[in-house]
Amino acid sequence: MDKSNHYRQLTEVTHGLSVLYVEDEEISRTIVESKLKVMFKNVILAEDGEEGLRKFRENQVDLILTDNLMPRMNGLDMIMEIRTKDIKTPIILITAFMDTDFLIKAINLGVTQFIAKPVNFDNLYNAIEIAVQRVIIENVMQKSREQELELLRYQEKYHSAQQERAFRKELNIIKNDLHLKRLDFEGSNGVRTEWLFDLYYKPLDILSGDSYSVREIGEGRVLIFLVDAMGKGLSASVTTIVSTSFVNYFVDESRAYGKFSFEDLVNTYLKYIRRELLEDEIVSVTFAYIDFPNEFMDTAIFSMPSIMLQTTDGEVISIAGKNMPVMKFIDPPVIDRHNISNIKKILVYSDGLNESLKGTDSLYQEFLKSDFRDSENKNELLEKFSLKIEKPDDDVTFIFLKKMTAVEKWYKEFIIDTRLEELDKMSAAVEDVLTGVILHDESRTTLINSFVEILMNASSHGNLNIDSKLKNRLIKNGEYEDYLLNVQKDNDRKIRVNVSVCGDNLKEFLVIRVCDEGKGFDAALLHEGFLDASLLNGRGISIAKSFVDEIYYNKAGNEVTLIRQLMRR
Amino acid sequence: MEVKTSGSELTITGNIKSIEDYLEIKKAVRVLIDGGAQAITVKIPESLSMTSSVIGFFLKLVRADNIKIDMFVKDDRLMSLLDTLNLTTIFNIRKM
Repeated sequence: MDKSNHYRQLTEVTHGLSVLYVEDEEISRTIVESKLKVMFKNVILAEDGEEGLRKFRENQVDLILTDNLMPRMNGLDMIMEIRTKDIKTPIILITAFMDTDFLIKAINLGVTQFIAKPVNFDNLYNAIEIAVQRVIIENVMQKSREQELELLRYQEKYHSAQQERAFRKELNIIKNDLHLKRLDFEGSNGVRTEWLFDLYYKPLDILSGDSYSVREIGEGRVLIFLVDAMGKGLSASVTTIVSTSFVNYFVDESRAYGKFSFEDLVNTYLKYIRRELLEDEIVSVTFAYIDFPNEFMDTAIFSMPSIMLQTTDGEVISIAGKNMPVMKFIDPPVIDRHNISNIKKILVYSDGLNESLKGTDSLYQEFLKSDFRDSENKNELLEKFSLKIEKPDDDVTFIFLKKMTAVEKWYKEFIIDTRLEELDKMSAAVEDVLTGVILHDESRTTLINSFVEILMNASSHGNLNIDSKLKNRLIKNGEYEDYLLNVQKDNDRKIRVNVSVCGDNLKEFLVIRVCDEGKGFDAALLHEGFLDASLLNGRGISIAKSFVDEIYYNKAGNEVTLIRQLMRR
Repeated sequence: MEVKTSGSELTITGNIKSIEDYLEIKKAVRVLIDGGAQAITVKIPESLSMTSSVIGFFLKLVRADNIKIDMFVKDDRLMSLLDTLNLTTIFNIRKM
């Protein structure tokens, strides 16, 4: 390769770099500077070691070219100072002095190349070429690191977006027709009966091995489906999602044709899922079909924990499964029917609940029966569970069903017009009533908080028919109160509030029911996964829930029941 | 419940629980904003809770009106509620 080509190639490499040139002799400095200016993007000059040190600290320098013998501070001393903070920048030392000790000291200080004085430019270019190679490699590595980081950030963002979508998909597939709802129906004996549902679902991962479906088949008839695919990870979650999706499809089609058969569901599911399972894959499933008016429950349990029930006498009994886990090759299922006429509580759960480890040597199973017996609702059971189990190592799912058996001891009813000022008077009136029932100020205050949220919803969403999007827009534009005052003028719908104390020998409950005359809505839409955080409204139910033990809507969605257990005086 | 203002600072004593409370808070904040405040400090030394109307109003101030809010809360229950609603960052909530 000829010299000019070589020089041109070198310049292609150096033209993006900055060089610090330290030389006290003006003539040498001027000559060398003129050569460097052609090669480098930026040439920084200094007349001695002290200035050189200062300019190094003030600028981004890729290469240092320095004389040694200079006034105020010589080259080697300057290099020593630079090296206390920077060990990477290559340094070319121009010197006439070639003493061994000197050279050793210079090499130990990380001087990259030496050029003898007077400067031979071919030697200078060679020295520069060797010195900048390190800079180039460093720059390439830095760029590579940045690209890697950028890729990681993109991958993280991508995975995060994928996980978000997967989670929303999962929530879309899982269906709970009874979310925040109570079952209110006429029993076979003609008596009006209420059953309350609540559910706890805490998967460890976004796509988990546990899934469920709670579907309303007909008036007072409910299907509960709980599935737990063995193993962890995506494979297990695919099986549970596919299972849940199938069951929901079957139920939707059955409802559309007005014909549901529990036996058909179980058998068709088994036929379907066997085709989709891998050779060594197994799935645990609970099917429970509850016909409340006719007081029976059909079950098909495949290697899932027993269903727990509490009788009206207080006794806790278990219904054990009689089927092996679902796998590719399986026997015909065993379906049992149970009389539930004397049952007041039912618990359906996955093994994440009862097999959670308490400490190192006992399972929650030991405590579940007594905790279930002593709990009035899901939150109470969850509290007891959480006190004993610090950190479950599996997905935990349980469905808590309770019959409203408490006898009403007294009640007071209010009926008001849908007017803002009436709502305020109502909350004050209810607070007065509660003063005689709940002695603790803070407890009363928090309950009123919940009540006011529900009251506002009954007014705005219920009777005035203001939907969420409209409310958001009105609040955003600062027009909400004016709009309310305007629309309520022509509205003659009422809000009915019933405050009562119910109980038995052991416990007492405060029950507040708020009923509007609006068209109602589907409370299942209040599932937390569907809340839009960008809205300025929509948090009222979450606030209401946080201060009561239980909250339920009726089927139509125009009546809300708040329940708080009272402390015995 | 009582609302006091001082400069761009709002102190709400008592419990925030009724519609009337919300209207009173709204009125007090409006005075501050109309007076040119671009940032307000809200101190809540006693309340156990906050109504969704008040939350919605503060969200509107931050998101639609670009008002900066610094909120100081004393009661753990209210802290916990606001945290559950993912409002800690947007209202810059700190413990009193």
